[in-house]
Amino acid sequence: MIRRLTVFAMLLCSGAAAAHKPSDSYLQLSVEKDALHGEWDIALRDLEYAIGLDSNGDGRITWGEVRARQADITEYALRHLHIEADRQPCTLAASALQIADHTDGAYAALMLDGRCASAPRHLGVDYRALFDIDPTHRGLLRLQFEGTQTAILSPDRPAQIFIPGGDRVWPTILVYSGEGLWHVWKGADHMLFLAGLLLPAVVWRRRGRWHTATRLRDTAWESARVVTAFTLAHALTLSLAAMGVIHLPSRLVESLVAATVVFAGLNNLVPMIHRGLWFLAFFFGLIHGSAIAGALLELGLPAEQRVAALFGFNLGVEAAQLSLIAAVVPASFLVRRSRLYQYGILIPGSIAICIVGLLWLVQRVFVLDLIRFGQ
Amino acid sequence: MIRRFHTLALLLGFAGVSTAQAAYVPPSDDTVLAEVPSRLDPAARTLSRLRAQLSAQPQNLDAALAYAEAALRMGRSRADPRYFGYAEAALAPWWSLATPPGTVLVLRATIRQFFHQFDSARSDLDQALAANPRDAQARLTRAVVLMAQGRPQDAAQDCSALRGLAPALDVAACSAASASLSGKAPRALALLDFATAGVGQAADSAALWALTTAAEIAERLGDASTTARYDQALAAMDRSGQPDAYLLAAWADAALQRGDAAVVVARLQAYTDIDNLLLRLALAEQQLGRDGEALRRHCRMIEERFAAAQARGEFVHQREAAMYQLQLARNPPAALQLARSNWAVQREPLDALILLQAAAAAAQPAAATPVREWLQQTGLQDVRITRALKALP
Repeated sequence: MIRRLTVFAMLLCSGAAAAHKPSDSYLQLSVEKDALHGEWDIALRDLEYAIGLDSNGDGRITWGEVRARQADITEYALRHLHIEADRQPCTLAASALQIADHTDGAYAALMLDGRCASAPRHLGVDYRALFDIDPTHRGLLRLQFEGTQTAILSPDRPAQIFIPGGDRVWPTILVYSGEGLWHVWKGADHMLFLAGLLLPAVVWRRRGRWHTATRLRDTAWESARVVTAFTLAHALTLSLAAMGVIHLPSRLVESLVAATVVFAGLNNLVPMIHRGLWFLAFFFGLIHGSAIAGALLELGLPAEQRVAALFGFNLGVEAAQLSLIAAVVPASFLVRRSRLYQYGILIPGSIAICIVGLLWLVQRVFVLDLIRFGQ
Repeated sequence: MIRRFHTLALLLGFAGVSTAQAAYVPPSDDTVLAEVPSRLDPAARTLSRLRAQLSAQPQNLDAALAYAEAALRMGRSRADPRYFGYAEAALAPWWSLATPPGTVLVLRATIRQFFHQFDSARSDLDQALAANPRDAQARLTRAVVLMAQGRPQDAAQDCSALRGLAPALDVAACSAASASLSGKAPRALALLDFATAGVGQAADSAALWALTTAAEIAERLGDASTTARYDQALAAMDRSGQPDAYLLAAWADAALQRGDAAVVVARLQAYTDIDNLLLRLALAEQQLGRDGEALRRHCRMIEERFAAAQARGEFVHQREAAMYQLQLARNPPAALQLARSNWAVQREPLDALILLQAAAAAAQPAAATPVREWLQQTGLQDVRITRALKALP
């Protein structure tokens, strides 16, 4: 049977170029200390399709019909917009409903007011309005946050992060290095791995005998080499993953991270590798980088200055690690000859690292809930 | 991508146009704020019935296809991109599958071609045809995409493969359109005249396509029958009760070409919400040389529409923007830049013509080289293009 074809043919030529405007909403927000103010214009046509405004069905949407649905319009809008200050949700309410005219007709204009727990260091905007019924919809954000920033919120990038003066390089580096630092300090697994790697920097066991480092400079140099290799490697995977070039399943990455912790602890007890530790650190750094990227992706790169943000985050991660070396290496160097260090810290510490690493490994591979810290 | 977009924005000078207006409280509850399809509109009723069926079972492929097809028909007749978005949303459960059903692939390609994503549209259709070489809708759609990309010879192969799979008129329109773009215009016109002889008072989409194509071929051949053919196509459109933005634009271009701006102004007044037709209306007003106020107002509207498209990070209006810069804003360098980036995406005779005219106006004959090569490769016959080539230094 020859079925009649739909000649969408000419539609192609008339195409989007000949069209009405696609669906956009206009969201203006300003941040003043912990207070949010703004206006959100959503096309009446879009609200009609989403929740229905033309109650009498005569094809004309009147002000009376819009006003009658004010509560529903507000509820629909606020359900699809979430603002966070430093990852703490801010409140958001619509104080008034008016009308705004744009090039393609009338929009419902919601006057927004909100409050955050504190003046935000960074502001997260999570916008999901209309995407489920029209994926070509866009939220056009204009944000006053110590300067003006704009962003296009789309189904591909519904949640974006903004920092004060985020159109400039230095504020971006500052905020993201703080995030990087904080993440590594908080994330016990990276610290534990590094500690495992650094514990034997001053004392190590080979062929059943203890060897002690003689000069702090050599020790510091060796440690710095290890940590630099680790950093370069994780900066590489972190950046690639954050830019979306590589994507590894988080369960796999997290399990591998746990495995590296076990290995680092085990290597101190049953030395497998001592010389060329930096090589191992580089390889493991690739794994840890993918894991840290998860945190960065969760926070999100800013709409502008993405390179500065990535650089800043790496800088913060590195600073956190160097702070660990600065604390651990000189202290352990001082006590390296004491039996206490060898039998009271190095061996029990490495055993503890092994055990924690093993628990993490089991928990992450089998998605269990054994221990909660450092997650 | 973003960078190129900014360059265009600067070039166009639309960046300063603000879309924000102060919000207000309407004077009365009876103030009409917007017009939407009423409950009496049969197409809108069908659509909302199908939408209700789909929301009852969003995972039902048949329900999704029925709704998406209706939405696309609505979007086509109203030249309204929102309906293409609604269709995409309906197809969401299958949209990102590795191998969506063939029917979904064809609709996805239709949506993508609407947004000028021709390459991804074509790969959808390749995939659909690899699974089922006898899928006539996929075959026809691919032929059209290939023609838009300036590959009429490849399109012709798809058109001949349609024989026996699609109604004769569809096959004839497809074959004639592709043949006329590759140096066989007189024969294509004869074929169309033969195929449309029995059409009579028909007003379906295939008949309209055939009549429009015939008028366009006659126009490219400089044939005296052009005006009568466009009028015949317009009459078929009027009978169908649905405006056709593509036909109206092609008709207006031909009328402006022969200096008949008054009919264009009269007919296009009603379509200022369709950007393409608003542009032709402004061109006609310019040609008439009277009523400067309407021309200025319409130019401002065009600029606002470009600015709004730009604000959402899209620029599919490049052909129209080039025409605007060339003929209304009189900014040949900007027109040339736009015509060139348009040529990278879309290669119909009109796109070639605009690039040639912009190259001449900007005194950059070298910019016309890609078009010259393409003309040689396809053998396109078009009196407008011949004239534009002569105007190049």
